[in-house]
Amino acid sequence: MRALCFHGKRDVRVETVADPKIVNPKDAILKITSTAICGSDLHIWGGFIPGMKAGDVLGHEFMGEVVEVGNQVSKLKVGDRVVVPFTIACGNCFFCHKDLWSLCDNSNPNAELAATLYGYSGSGLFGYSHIYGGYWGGQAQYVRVPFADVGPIKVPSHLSDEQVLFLSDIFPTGYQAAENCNIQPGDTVAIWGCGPVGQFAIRSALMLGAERVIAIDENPERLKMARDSGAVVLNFAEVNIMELLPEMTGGRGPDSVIDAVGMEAHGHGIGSVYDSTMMTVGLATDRPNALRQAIMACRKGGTVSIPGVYGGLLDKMPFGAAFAKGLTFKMGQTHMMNYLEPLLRKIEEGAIDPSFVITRRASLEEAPGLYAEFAQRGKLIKTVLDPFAANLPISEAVPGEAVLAD
Amino acid sequence: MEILPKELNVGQKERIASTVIGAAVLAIAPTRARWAQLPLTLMGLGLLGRGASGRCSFYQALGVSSCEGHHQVSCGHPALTREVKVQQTVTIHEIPSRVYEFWRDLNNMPLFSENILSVTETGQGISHWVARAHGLDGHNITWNAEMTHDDKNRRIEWKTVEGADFTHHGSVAFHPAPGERGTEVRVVMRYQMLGGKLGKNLAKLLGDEPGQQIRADLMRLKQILEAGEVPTAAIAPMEREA
Repeated sequence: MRALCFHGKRDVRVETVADPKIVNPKDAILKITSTAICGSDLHIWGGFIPGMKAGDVLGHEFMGEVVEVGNQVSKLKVGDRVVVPFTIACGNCFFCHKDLWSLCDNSNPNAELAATLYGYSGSGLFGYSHIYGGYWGGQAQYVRVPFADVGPIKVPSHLSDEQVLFLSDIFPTGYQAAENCNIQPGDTVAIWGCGPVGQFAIRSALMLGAERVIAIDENPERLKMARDSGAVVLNFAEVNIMELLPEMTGGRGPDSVIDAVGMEAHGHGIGSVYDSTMMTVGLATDRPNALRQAIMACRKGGTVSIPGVYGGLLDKMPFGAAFAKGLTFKMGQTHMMNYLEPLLRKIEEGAIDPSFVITRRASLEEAPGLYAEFAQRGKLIKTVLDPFAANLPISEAVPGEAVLAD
Repeated sequence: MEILPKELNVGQKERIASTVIGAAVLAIAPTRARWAQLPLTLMGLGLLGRGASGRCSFYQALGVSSCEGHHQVSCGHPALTREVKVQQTVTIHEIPSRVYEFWRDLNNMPLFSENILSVTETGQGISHWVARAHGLDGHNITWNAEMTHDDKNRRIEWKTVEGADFTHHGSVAFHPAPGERGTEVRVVMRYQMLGGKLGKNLAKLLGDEPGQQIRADLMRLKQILEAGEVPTAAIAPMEREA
């Protein structure tokens, strides 16, 4: 099959590799019909995620058709059309029973490695380093899905791939980020980062009853999409966020803040220069400028919700501020299985059409170039790839294929 | 992700020297110029570390060793021969009786214990064990074990009988975890860490860190009982064996 393989920092290639097969009795094999590039894939591409090996297949946002099932799979059958959540869960450990699916005890075969870094291991993830299990991901034509009765959700045929694909990660992730804010009537939610997760967090926060969502970024396309989603937008390159946020909230500060940026924050000012320097010399693993701002901006007794990915040690965290203001922190990988059915219902009811976030459609073969383009944070917000589309080099791509969301 | 080389590569005399010099460097570090304190401290800690562990990353990188003899594991001084106690605990989301019954059926042992190839009950509480020893050119090691204690749903104890390739005794206890969190499975094993060929074979059997193999086995037991299979990232059945 064709698959996007990691080969090193800023080096991903589409290659022909072996087709995955059923290994365990609860496996399914999927023929992938649509797959996407996630902002967190850029952390891997940029070399910030440890535990990657050459040849690893990336991708954790995918859907497709079941082509084979193991002998202990009962809910899925060949021919089913499913979306697969990016976290892998066994469905029967203490954490799965507690609906803490992304903390599954059993799905990471390399749990020992993750425990060395983090004390204990979270669940396995598709295409996200050997620390998270070394599972091959879904930027490929086929994928092996373990515990196929637990994760994948069947989707009705009247919904298009583009409407349901983002149930695989970014819609539930944005939704959980908003849900973690415990939104009360009258609340203002400030969101750092208007990438795909930020976009879904904006819409989710409004769905959950936020009075107002303030969205922060510097990219004009992302800010425009955020405004279209119903947010008040602030461009941090043009205005002083830390002065404006109190002013916009009657001096109280936002009731909750969401860091939808994560470990590779871009920014201006001394903080971001410091972080880049520390990372370059290897004295820090993450660049937490957005998180620092969010903590400082949050009102007393407020909530800091962190869907953005962090990997290691954070430097110069204003923990005194967090303590003094009695903040609540909510974070971690999304407990996907809690959200698949309710959010699919919202899509069916027409409460949201997740395809709004798509700005580019391309073939899998074009993916390496699109990673580089995505990293530039230009007009590209979300790319959906067709793994079976004919190989169209970018230069020959049909103009107009890139549809900007309205 | 390995920080230290797996095998010992610093000889006994050099380990002692390394430890002494490391301690001395650490001791003088605070008395030196400010700029020199951090490098000296790091150097002291490094020397102490390779002295204590017998492993040196630089030697590993250079592919050299100051170990005496051909076999690197023979680095250990005879005086270091000792009884080793290994203890590991895992919580399994199942009631104690189910975990006990699975363990008590010794035929299940090879399903979760990576190195155990077969266990045959030969009667009167005696069982015959065959285990794989890595790096032994396909040779297996065997022993007979006697179950010395069998408290249903609570505890099993065993010891090897005369003539075992791997002399040890051990116990496994099944405690109900509080708040219906399942069963705490605690394994304790004691064995003699020996010098010579046998000791070397055992080191290979048990791995560099003896507790690690048992922890991995307990994880697989948990995965089988909770998840119904041992998860793997393999993309084809053959890959797992390799």
